This record gives sequence, C-alpha cells and structure tokens, in this order.
Amino acid sequence: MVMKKSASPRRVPEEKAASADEVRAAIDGLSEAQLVRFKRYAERKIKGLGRRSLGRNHMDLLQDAITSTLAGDRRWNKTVDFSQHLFGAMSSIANNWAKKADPGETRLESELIHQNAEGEELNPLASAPAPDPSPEHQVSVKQQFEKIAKLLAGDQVALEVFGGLRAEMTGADIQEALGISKREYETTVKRIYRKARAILQ
Amino acid sequence: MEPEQENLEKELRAVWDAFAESIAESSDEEVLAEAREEGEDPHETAQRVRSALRDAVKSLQQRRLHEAEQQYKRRITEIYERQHRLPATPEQRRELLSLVFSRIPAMQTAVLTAQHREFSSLTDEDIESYLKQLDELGVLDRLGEPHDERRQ
Repeated sequence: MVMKKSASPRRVPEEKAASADEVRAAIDGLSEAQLVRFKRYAERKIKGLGRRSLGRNHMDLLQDAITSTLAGDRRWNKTVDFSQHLFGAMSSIANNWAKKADPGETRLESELIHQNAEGEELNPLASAPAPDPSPEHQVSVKQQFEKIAKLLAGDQVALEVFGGLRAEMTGADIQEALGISKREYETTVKRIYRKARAILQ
Repeated sequence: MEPEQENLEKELRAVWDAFAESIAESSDEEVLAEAREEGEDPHETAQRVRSALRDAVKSLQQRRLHEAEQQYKRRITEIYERQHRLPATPEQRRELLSLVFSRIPAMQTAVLTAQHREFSSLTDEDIESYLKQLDELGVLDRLGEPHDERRQ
C-alpha cells in the first residue's frame, strides 16, 4: 500500500517537539508487538531499496530514525503518535537513501559517508556492491516476479493487486480500479506477502 | 541504468513498500504470529530492537556531550593562547581583580560563590585565570580604569 502515512512535518514548533527524555520514555513504553512491527517494517524498506541500501541494514534505518528525531532533522511532534512518527521517519530516510544512491545522480563520495549512532564514519562505497544492478540481478528479479505470479494463479484479486503494485499504483488507486474495499486490499497484500516471502528473501 | 532495469528496481521497491505498509497496519496478533511463523522469537526481537533504539538515543547524547567538551576545550585554549592586557605582577593583578569586584559586586558573587571561596584564598594562578576570562568577556574594558599602563 503506498498510502501516505502522516509523516512528521519538517518544521515542528519548538513547544510541540519532544525532548530526548520524552523520546526515551516513548521507546520504553513501546509494546513487544510494536517493536517487532518496527523491525519488520524496516526490513521491508531495506529490501525494497535493494542495492541502493548501500550496505545499510534495518537496524541502521531504525537507529537513523531515532537519531534524526533527536538531532532535529525530523522532530517528533508530540501531538502525533510516536509509532506513526517513526514509520514516517523511516519511510522518509529510506526515500532519501534511494535518491542519494540513484546511479543517475552525480554525487561526491563524501556525500555518502555518514555517521553511525556512535559518531563513527561509515563509507558505504567501501564495502557495498555498486547500486547499479547487474544483469544477473535483473534476471533474478524478473524470475522472482514470474514465480510469484504463478503462485498467485487462481487468485484473480491477488494477481491484479500485484500487477497494480508493480505498476507503482497507490493503494487507494488499486482499490478504486478493482472496486475493492480498503480491508479487502489489505488482506490481499498480506496474502501476496505470505506467498511471495520465500521467493523474495 | 537501462529503462527496463530501472523499471524492475522501481517495481521491486513498490512491492516491498506495500509489504512494509501492510505490516504497519497489521494488528498486534498478526505481527506476532507472522514473526513466529518465520521462526522469530518476538520477545527476543523486541528486546533487541528496544536496546538498539535506546543505544541510538544514548550515543547521540554522548556525541553531543563530546562535541560540547571539544568546543569548550577549544574555547579555553583560545582564551589562554590569546594575548591579554593584564598587569605585569601578581600584586597588580590581585589589585585589578579586587577593583573589578568592588566596581561590579555581582561579578564577585558569581565567581566566588560558584567556587565556594574567599577572595583572600585565591592563588595568583586563579586570579590570572579569572582576569583572562573577564578580559575575554570585555569586563576589563568596561571598567574604564586605565589598567592599560600595567599591561604585560
């Protein structure tokens, strides 16, 4: 679903921005399910980036979301649910990474060097494969999509939703085009995931 | 990148984004069940994630503290390396600080109260250090006293 989450606005008024103590308290208050949800959300965002993640993993994404919240790049507006804020922050950071790793975009190596939570400099170019995918990788992605389509054979709604996602349609557009409810769309995406996960791992 | 390659990358990303949004919308029971189905121990995962998030907060705070310390050290070094217009002898410097305190009593309160000390117990080094800091703050200029003639 490419339904837009309510990401925190970039400019959060000082009086509404959470302090480090409030962020820590919010982390302490997260339930087990929510923490597992964050991890799985981050994993999927990283998988979507593919080689554009430049060697970063889901924990890097989670920690970056917290770091940018505290550093002021993506402040947490306390009137917004903390989980919604973190989903928005992770999504925004992942978009940023994808953009920066775009092979069509000229950039300096120094722009890619970032600091981890310990302040240590990391150069993704030193260890990661080039973001430009190899022909083998492309063939593999194509084959994976074909395999998933085969697994979904007989499930017309799932096939059509999968087609809509591949066409980069938003969740709302897919629902409208197929005349299905939000609930039906969501359960269909879950069904697709259950069948696709072994292939896309 | 070739257009077809680029399209495949975009498709892959769109599919995974939809899966990501799907987990964000899932109920707690579904999330935990899915984790178990995939061989994960939710309790252990939750502990690891919470710890990583806490580490991020702690590390950022330590980094800020370290940066503040470095900035403070640079500032202090700058102060000590700069030429200050102080009287030549310890006695003259003590006299000047006494003058500062008599002209600006709030300064005496600020300096001595913070150190829990009496003026008489200040060493020559303390006095020189305070005067340099006061000079840095422009306090000596504000005195209007012709202490220039006693410069080092």
